[in-house]
Amino acid sequence: MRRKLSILVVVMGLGLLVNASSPVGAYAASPLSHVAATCTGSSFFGFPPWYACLPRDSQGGPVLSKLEDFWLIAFPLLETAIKIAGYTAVGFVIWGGIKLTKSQGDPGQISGARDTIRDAIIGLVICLSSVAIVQFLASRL
Amino acid sequence: MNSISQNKMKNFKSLVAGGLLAAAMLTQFITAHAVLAQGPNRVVCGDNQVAVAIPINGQNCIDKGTTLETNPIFLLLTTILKFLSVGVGVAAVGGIVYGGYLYLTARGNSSKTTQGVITIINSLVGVLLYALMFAIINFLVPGGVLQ
Repeated sequence: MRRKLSILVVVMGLGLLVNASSPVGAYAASPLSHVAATCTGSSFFGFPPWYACLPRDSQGGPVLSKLEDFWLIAFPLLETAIKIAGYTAVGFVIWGGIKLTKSQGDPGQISGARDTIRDAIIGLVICLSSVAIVQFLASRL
Repeated sequence: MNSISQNKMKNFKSLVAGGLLAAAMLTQFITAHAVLAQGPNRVVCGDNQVAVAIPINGQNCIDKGTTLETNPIFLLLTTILKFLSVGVGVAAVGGIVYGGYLYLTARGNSSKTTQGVITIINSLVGVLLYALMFAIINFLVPGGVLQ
């Protein structure tokens, strides 16, 4: 039962990934789309800077002119959080693999290692599909 | 004083503090005349207009209307409502990401997994309750808010 569920979650997540992999894409339909479409900025390890989605002045500095623009600061933060989750998940999958290698056929250790890998993958899929889930709920309600 | 009444006292105190803070913020937004009349970006409004600190539809001067749609207080409240509506989605995505992070660091520990799942479900319930609130407000206010 649990195995089937995890396979379902993985397949669902991969399907959702094709549509939306970053929170910036999720706001394409929102009133902020005209600004969110221009998210740029140098990145460190794929983490965007906090002002990535803000409109810029002539010298390239961020401008906060409207009240709604304050939420544009949240988009790069969410993207950073998702990327941190991604890096952590890769680490846990590697850690689970090492545990599996070291288990020497001990059933308890094998199942523990497999649980580690499975939970890491499920958690990553949940993080990556979070934007699509909220967008789906918001569009249907 | 036992712990329950202490807790109640604490709740009451935080309620009063929050109410005062909200009142102070709202007053600031509405009575922005003094602030906006000075400084480099000074705003001068006409006799039949009200100055607000938050630009509403890109303007700091609002006509003193007599109908609901042109009432400055109504316009201010809908502006704040629109601002907070975007925040609901942002907070929900943040909550789901946090729940997913708890799930992926659970390492097969079922109590930690449950904690992550509960976090995710609570975020989704929050979006649901917001939608309910939206429906109720659209039912109550003639003409609806947020179009």
